[in-house]
Amino acid sequence: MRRLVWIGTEGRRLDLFRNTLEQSEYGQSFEGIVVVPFRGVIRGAIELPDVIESGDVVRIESPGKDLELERDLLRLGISCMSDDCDSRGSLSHEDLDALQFDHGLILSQRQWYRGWCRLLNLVDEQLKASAPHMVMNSASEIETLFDKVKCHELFRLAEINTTKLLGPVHGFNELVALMDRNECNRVFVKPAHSSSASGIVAFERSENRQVASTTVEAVSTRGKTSIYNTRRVRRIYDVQEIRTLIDLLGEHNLFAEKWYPKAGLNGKRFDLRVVTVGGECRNVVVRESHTPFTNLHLLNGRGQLQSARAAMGESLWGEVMNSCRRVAGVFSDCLYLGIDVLIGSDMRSHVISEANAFGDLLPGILCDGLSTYEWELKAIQSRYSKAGVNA
Amino acid sequence: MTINEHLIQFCGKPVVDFDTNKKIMDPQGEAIRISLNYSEYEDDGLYWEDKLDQLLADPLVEHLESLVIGPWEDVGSQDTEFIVELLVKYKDKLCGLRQLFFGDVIMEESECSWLDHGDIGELWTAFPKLTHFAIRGAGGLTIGEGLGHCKDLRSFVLQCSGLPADVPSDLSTRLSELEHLEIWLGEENYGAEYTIDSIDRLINGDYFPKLRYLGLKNAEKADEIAELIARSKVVSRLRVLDLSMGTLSDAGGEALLKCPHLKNLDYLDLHHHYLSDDMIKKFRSLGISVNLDDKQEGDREEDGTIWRFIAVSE
Repeated sequence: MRRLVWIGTEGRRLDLFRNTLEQSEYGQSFEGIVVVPFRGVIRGAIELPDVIESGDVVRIESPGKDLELERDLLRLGISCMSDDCDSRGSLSHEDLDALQFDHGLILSQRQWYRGWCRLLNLVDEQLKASAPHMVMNSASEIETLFDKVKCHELFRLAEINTTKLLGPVHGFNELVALMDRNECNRVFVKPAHSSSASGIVAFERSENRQVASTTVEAVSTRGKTSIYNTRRVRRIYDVQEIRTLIDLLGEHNLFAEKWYPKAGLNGKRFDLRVVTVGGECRNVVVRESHTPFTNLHLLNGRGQLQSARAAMGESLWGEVMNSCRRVAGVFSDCLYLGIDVLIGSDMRSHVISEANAFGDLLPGILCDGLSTYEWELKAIQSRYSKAGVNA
Repeated sequence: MTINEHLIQFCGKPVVDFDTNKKIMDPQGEAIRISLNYSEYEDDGLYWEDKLDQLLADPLVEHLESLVIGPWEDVGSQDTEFIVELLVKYKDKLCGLRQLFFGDVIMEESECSWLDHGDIGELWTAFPKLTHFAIRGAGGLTIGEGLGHCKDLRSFVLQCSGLPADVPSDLSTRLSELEHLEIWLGEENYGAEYTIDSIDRLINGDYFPKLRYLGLKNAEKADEIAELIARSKVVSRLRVLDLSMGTLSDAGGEALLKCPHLKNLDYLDLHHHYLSDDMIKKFRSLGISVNLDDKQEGDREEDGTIWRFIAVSE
């Protein structure tokens, strides 16, 4: 019998994983889950070498939405800030002490990312000093996966079709200059380290008009403007309002990429989330939207996989699966990945938009009767039996 | 709602993207789309004109009946005058052309209201045998006075989110074969500058003796259009009346119900409307087939104002 060590937080993800472990035939070789809270690791209350036993399977999870953890990560991010010249939007210890939960408020993503990397390094170091075990997704590759610009570069080096990166953006003027230089009128502006549609702006312009679509809202109170993520996509036509928004978001390590026009299906735009497990494409979900943003977190419906596949044709479908396998090859220390694939508006081409370290949360989406978690447990089983390792 | 999918069919024919690997297979049975996709432009450095050149080199091009103009480079920033010029220049090669869709561009490629054309008037003299013409987008669009050259024209469709002022009068020309006239009227914010009078003159001017389908769709002034329709004699000759995708409310519904010819229609399309349940019942009891799908609620402000939106504005 083996143990699964869950390094993360309690909550929905853990409940779903525990359910699978207890109910699926592929979970039968596990005796249970040991939960190691991130906050315990950060505070030094838990040392992984004291926890990990030989033969354990370790799963490093998403930090999720936990204000106390977020505060800790932002705190961790302070201590390694000196080499960073752009300190706009950064939060001091005093700021963090006073921080209250404010739904949707976007806090310094640079600082958060530094803290997150620091935590991942800590986990990595402690795991290296622990008894022999298997990590589902390695801490160092998770770190890379949280840097979208770096992933982009890796895709490009591996000759995997991806979107066209224009460069970093710190403010509206820089964005406009970047677009001018690249003769480009339609872009997606994204934070380099966030997930889902958080902080994304789709911006298009022509000679005398412009429009930005976004879920981000700038709210001014007492002379201070803060930005919030919402679940509603707004369209902003006023150039000053767009400027304010991009300038504020510019504090968060933004980059711009060319807008890749997506295909439509059943009157909506769509893309694919493909989960790879052990390098193979498994569960696929169609994400549909009336807006430029197709992310699941925006409460978009799940489209019909079969109709999408039929519209794409088997040849394009095969190319997409091939690209996803190649992405999995780039991150060979990750057992699973959630890969976002954009299908071109001509329904003949595709690009990889991004790969997500925690992109396997697709409850109810089965592939050959198995959920993503079951595929992962099955892969672990066969990996252990091949290696002849037993706990 | 926005337009998010490319045409799958045009004039009942499947639409096929032209590329050099796939020659024209069935010049009468399929519609060919000339479009420039993302990677052709970004990676291969091709232009729309290159794609047209490839088509013109096809041995069957002179037999091609049905052409769809898909996205070109810088859709949304560059107007289509260059495409009109190219089509006119190669009119002899395209001598078989009867059915033309101009601007099969979706929202992911450009806002519908940003789709700019120009003066397309030269098309009518270059292609007088057109039977079907459709165009999406109306920014800067001029139809010109020559549409009457297309004596065989059976169908004219203009999909837009703002109808320019001159279009109704330019369309007011005798087209003795025209059976299908579909105009999206749009809203003022997106360039609608037409007047109700100009629509009145267009539909009641006896220009189209064979008209069977009339669509005045996607209208911000849907209630006024309904009132106009109610007092128009043209309805008596129609089989299908399409006032869908607009902001039709009970005021327009009430007016429309007074139209004595309504019961003679085969089909009345009102989908995407703001009618009350009572009004919906009245239309249901007309005894003809009525599409009342996609009921809208509108956005109610605190002061009681209700904002109603057309289906395709952006």
